Amino acid sequence: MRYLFLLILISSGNLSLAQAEEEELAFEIDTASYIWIKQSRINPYVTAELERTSLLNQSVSNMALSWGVLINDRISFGTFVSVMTDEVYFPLIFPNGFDLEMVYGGVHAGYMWPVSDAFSAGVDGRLGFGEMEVEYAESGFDIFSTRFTSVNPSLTIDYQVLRYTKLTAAFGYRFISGYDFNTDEFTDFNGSTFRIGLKLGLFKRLKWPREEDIGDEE
Amino acid sequence: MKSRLLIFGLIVFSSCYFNEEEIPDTAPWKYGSPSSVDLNESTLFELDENLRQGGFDQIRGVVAIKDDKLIFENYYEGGDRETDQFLSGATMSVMSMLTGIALDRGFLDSIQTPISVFFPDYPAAFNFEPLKGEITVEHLLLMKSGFAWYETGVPVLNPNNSLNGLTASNDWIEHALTRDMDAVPGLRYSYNSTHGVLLAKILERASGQPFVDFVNEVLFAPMSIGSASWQADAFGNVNGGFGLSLNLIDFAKLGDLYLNNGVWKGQRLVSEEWVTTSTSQQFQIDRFSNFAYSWQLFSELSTFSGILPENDTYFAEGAGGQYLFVVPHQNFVLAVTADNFFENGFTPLIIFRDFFAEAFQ
Repeated sequence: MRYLFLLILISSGNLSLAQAEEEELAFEIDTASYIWIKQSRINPYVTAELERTSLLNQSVSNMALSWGVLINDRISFGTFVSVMTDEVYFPLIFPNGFDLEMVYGGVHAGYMWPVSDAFSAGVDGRLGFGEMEVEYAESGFDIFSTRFTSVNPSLTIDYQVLRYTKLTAAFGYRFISGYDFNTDEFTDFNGSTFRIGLKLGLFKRLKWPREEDIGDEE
Repeated sequence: MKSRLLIFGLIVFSSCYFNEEEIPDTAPWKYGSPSSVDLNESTLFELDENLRQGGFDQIRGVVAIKDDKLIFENYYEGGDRETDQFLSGATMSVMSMLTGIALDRGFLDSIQTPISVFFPDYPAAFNFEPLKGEITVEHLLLMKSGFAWYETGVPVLNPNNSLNGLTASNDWIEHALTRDMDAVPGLRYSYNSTHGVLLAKILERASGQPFVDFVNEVLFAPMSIGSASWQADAFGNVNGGFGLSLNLIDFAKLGDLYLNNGVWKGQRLVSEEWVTTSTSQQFQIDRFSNFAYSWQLFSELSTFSGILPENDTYFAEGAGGQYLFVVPHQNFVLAVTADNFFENGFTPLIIFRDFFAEAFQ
C-alpha cells in the first residue's frame, strides 16, 4: 500500500503542474518563432516503452509505461510501471524449473540537453519498487513472491518525429536489491537495460511543423 | 483535461498491482542445489525422471533437506506444496514427540504411568481384566499393550482387520479399551492404531486442554505448521493413531526438529533426552526393522543398514507410503508421501536407499 500512496502523491503533484500550464501553452503555439522557449514551461507526457533487460544471464522483455511532466523540455520527472512479458527460467528448487515473473513501478527523473532541432540527449534515473513471483514452470502454480527495489540509471536520446511525438531510446544498468529468495546460489539480479519507446506529450518545440515539412503536410 | 484523465487512468492501472498481497515462502530452509551439499545431482535427476514417468506408483511428493538446505522438492500425481497428505501411521511418531513434550513440561510424570489413571470414566474396561491395569504409556508407544488386535498382516479391506471394527464404532476410546487381552502388557509387539487414539486422550487429560489446542501450542504453532488437520470419531476423540494430515513441507519440518535434537530455529521444543530415547532401539520387530518409541530403525540384518557409513537412520512410517527419514550423521531429512494404499507402499524405502543414499557416495 505504501507504494500506492507514493505513486498517487507524486502523480497528483504532476497533475496540478500540468493543469497550471495548459492554457499558456495554447497561446504560445502560434506566436513562438524560435525552437526552445526561454521561460519555464511544464507539460505532461506519457511514454510507452519496450525494454530488453538482462536478468539471471537471460535476455527478457518488459513493457513499460511512464508518465509525468517535462519542465522546459529538459527536466522530466514522474512515475512508471514495468511488466515483464517474458518469463525467466529459474532453477531455484532442485529438480524443478521455475518461471520468474516481475512487475515493478516507481518514480523517475531525468535531464535532457538539446543536441539539434530534433535530437536531444540526456540522463535518466528510475527508482522502482516491485515484486518478483516464482511459479512452477510446468504447472504455473505460484510458489511465493518477494518484493524488491531497483535503481536504473540510463543514458537517453530523444528524436522528435511529430509535433506531439518523440522516439526515445535509453541504455543503462539496473540494480536490484531487497529481494529474498532464501538462497545463496542466485544472488545477482543486476543487469543491463535497453529501452526504446514512443513519447507523446505537449513538447515545447513550438516551431512546428518545420519549414521543410510544410509542403508535405499541405 | 484529456492528459489528466490519461495520467489518472495510469495511476489506477498501476495501483491494481501494488495492492496485491505478497505470497509468503513457506519453506523454512534455504534453497540449495544437491551439488552445493556434495550430492550427486545426476542420480537425483534420474529419480525425478522416474517419478515423473510413474516409475514408482503414486508417489505424491519428495522433499529432502541436507545441511539445513532444501535440496530436493517436487510433487507428482497432481500434488503441490499446498497439498495436505494423510500421514496414516506416521501420525504415531508425532504422538511420540508429543508424549516427550508432555513429559518435558510435567504433564506426564513418567511413561511408566498406567493408562488406567487417565480413564476413570471407563471403569468397566479395567475392572473385568486386571491385566489392563498394567498397561502403561510406554506400552502404547512400543505397541506392546497386549490388546488382541490384528491390524498388520491382514489386508485393510479384510473384515478380520481390527481397523474395520474401530472405524465402525462411535466411541473409539471405548472400542480400544474394551478389547480382550491376548498377551501380558510389554511382552509382545502388535501394531495397534488405537494406541494413538488413547495417547491423544491421555495427553488431552494430562495437559488439561483440548488435544488439538495442546498440539498447536507446544509444537505446531512454534514451527509455523499451519496445514495440520486431525480426524476424530463421533465423540470428538482425536485419531492419534493415523488421523493426522500435513503438507509435505510441514511433515519434513518434524524430521528437521528431531535432526536438531528437538530444537527448531533456536527454540527448544522437545528435550534432547527424549529425542535420543525415543529414537533408540528398544527391540527388533522383524528381520528388517527395529522399533523405538513409535519410530523405526533399520536392523543390522536389513539391506538398508550397510548403505551408509553409520546405521543411525530412524524413520516414521505410514501406510500408503508416508515416510519421514532422519539420518543424523549425514545431517539429512527425507520426507516422502504417496497414495499407494492398496499395492506396494514401501517404494519410499527404495527411493531412500537407491537414490538419496546413492547420491551421498
